[in-house]
Amino acid sequence: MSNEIILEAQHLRKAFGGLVAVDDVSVRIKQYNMHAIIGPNGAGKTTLFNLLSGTMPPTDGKVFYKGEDITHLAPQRRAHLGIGRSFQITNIFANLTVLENIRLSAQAMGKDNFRLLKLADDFPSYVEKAAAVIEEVGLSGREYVLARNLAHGEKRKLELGIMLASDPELLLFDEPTAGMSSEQVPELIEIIKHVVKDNQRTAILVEHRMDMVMSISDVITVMSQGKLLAEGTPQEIAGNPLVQKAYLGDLYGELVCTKPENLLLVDNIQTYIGQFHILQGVTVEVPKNEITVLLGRNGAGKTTTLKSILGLTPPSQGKIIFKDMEIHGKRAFNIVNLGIGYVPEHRAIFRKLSVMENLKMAERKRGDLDKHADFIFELFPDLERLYKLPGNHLSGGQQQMLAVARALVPDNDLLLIDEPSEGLAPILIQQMMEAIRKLSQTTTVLLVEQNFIMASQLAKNFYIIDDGKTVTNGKMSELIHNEELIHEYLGASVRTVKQGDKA
Amino acid sequence: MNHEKRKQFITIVIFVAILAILIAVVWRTSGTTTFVRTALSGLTLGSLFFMVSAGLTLIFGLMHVLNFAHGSMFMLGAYIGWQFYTNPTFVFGIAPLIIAFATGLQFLTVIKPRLTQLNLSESLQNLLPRLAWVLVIILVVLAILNFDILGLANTAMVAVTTVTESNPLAELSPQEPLARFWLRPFLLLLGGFLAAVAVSKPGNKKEYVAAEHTTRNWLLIGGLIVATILLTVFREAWSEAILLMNGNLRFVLALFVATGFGLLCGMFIEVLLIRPLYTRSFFIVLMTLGISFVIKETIQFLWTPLAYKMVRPPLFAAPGKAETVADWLLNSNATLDIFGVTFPTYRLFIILLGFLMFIFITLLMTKTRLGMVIRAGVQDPEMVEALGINVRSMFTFVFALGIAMAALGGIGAAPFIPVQPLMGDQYQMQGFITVVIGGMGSYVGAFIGALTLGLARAFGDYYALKWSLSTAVAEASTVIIMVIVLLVKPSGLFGKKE
Repeated sequence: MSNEIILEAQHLRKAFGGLVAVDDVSVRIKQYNMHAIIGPNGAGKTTLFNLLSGTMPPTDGKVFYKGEDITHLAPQRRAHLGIGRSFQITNIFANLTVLENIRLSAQAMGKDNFRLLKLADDFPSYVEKAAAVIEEVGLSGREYVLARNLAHGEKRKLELGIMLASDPELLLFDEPTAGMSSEQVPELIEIIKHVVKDNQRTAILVEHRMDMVMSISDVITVMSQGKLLAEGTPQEIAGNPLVQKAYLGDLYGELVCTKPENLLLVDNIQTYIGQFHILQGVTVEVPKNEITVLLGRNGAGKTTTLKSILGLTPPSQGKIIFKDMEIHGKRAFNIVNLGIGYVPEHRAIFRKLSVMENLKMAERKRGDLDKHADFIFELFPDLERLYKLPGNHLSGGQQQMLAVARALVPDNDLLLIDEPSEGLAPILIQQMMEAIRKLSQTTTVLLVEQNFIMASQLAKNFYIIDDGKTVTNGKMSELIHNEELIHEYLGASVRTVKQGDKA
Repeated sequence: MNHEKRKQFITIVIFVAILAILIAVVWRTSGTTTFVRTALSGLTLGSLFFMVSAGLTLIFGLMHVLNFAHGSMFMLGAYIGWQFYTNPTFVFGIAPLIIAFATGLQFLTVIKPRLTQLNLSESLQNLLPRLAWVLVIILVVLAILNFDILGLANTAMVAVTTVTESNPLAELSPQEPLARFWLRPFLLLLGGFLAAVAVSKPGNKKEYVAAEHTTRNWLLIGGLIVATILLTVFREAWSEAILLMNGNLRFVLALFVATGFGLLCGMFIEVLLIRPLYTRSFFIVLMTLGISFVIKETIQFLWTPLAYKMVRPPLFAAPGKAETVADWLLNSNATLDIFGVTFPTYRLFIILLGFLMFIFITLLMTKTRLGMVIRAGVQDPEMVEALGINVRSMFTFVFALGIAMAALGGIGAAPFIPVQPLMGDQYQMQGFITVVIGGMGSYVGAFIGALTLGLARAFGDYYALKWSLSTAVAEASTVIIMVIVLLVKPSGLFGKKE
């Protein structure tokens, strides 16, 4: 292996208003290496990826490719230098065939861009190139299928093919397995491995599935809170206490017990988003005055379940019963007004509105905020201090607190909380946990949480959702001892638990 | 921390600095008198541009709808206001019909909770709304059968050309006798009620919504019924009473009537025509274009394509020049002396109207809960809905508000520019340019953009005349400003970055 450095980032920094997503990050990518960048949700991985690929300009810092400063080079110019990238979202021409998609990419890199009158088939070199690429990514036999008719996994392969057709030396992958079902992942990993290792290419892989990264990377960089936390071989990373802490946090707590009575019943709902059949039978019962948690991989359908309950993505079939009323088919604002508070993923606070206005927005009756202000500020003292500031001046953690506080403004019987620990520092996770525990004394909570430790400390009941279906459910106290179940359905969290035990 | 704000501030400072330098240069080269006159003309134009673009930018900012019917709404406001001011027979002739239908529709709020709870078989659930719609169509056709709408429209057509001014106290022409007329509003009330039945989907329990404010709803319906009866029975008396009223007061009423008509129109259009298309934005563009054609053709059918001149209200009509504002208010002069410049008082009123509208929007957006909800909705309508706020009705309100502002602009402009079916098109074009310059969705941007464009037009005209250039120079100046702004700041002066 060569030791030559192909890509170097120096002191990269990216701030969005008050939120510093990437803070003074320097990375060196060696040639012919598979270099993974990992970190918990919200660590700034995707932002770093965008800075490296040129989709966003950095606030500060420089990027060098083979010693050349490319900081302000547009993505398409970088592509001509030999940097290819793939996205979290699939980017293909849906109405072209597989072959056309790949050939187009090969043509774009060639010098015949403007010979518009000549048929593409008249450039045999491109056709040959495309055929070779199709072979390489495992799409042989699917050349003449329209891209939109491909399965999701095949689309990811096609995307990889499009990237390869431009002859890149450096491949950038942003969560290549995002949204893939568990059976498809190993195949894609094999192909990526083959493409990079056997063909002397270099790759940067941004991923939050730790298990995937461990097996194929040469070097792993761990990010947390926008900063570089550690770098090393997979073995070194696995044993690094700092990394364990970032993924786990320091969490302690005891379980709360009360008598069960169902406040919410979700009965076998089916939900489509566009043409995608996201939920294919989710059943959840939420007992009164208890915390119930939905577990599962990214893209399993947890967030969609919450949105279906609220009527934001109305289910096409199934029943949802809240306080003995059928609420499916009603409009979201009506459902919410029955007494449901919602803390969405990615916070979704109103950035241009002040903290006070954000809280006022949630009022259902005049005076709701005054009534609950004391309780809210007791849970989150920060917010009282920031009362007049606009939302985009808050840090990520403060925004998350505001999102939770907003759900506490009106009188609610049920809170739906989506990933409250997302992108929070361990110390804040601790505070958030305390807050949720406190508010759960008066309110029922349905929680979605990736942080397994947090979920296990808080929740009484759990449901596991995989590929849009409820797989199993039970008491949290039973789940923490059932390693097989955790292994099978919670993917990345597996290591989390084991390392947590060791630590 | 405050990076974005600072950047925005710098843009404005630079923009104002360039403007100030230009103004200084123009002032030096043209002399005070010319400068003041041209600047005031520019502000008048700018005010009109703002009244059109304010609605455009609000509607685009919240719903991402490019409303190509906005100019037509401006024109419609002018026609309704002009008719009301010159001879309200037409307005009072059709008002009972419109109010009657709206009253019928208003029953929706009280019958929906009851109808949806009925136990009906599935086939009946399908059949009932369809049957209701057929009946609605029959009733509406029966109600307007033989209705002499052209005769009504002609009542105020005393002035047939742009040049002659009509006598505001036109003759009242004989009307259809009440004994026959009362059937029309009655049938329309019934039609509106049946439409409400059809819309409420009887028997569909999923649609059930807990009844709220029931007494308030009944009170509203009661009030509307009384209004319908009063309008029907006394329609001639109303017209007469309005005509005998002080002209200034009548003009103020005309402003309100046009605005209210705009509100109603906006609601109808949003609910019936735009709402089903939110997921297909391209069709919305076609829909609004279509609406604008329909409105223009209807107006041509009623009042021919000719241009009319609306008489200025008495406050701006007396001959002679006032020396001071107090002098003007006392003697109602047509012109006023401002820094040695003789300037028409009505144009000052247009400037005032534009500034008042800007203050109104600013207060609405920053001080009220509704404004807060709109600002939040611009960023994330889904989250607003998830907080328990009815986003659909907020959309309807904002759309109606935008249309109402255009209609108010129309009647405001009517005594100043010829009233004709295409009068809105030019202002719509300038409105779009204004919105692009100011930044899509920003009402402050629209205000500054509109004033800039107005001034550019006025000074463009002045220099075109002075250097004997084509007047096209003035028209091109607005587009040139747009190009420059877009090159420097692609999202407009106050626009958000994509």
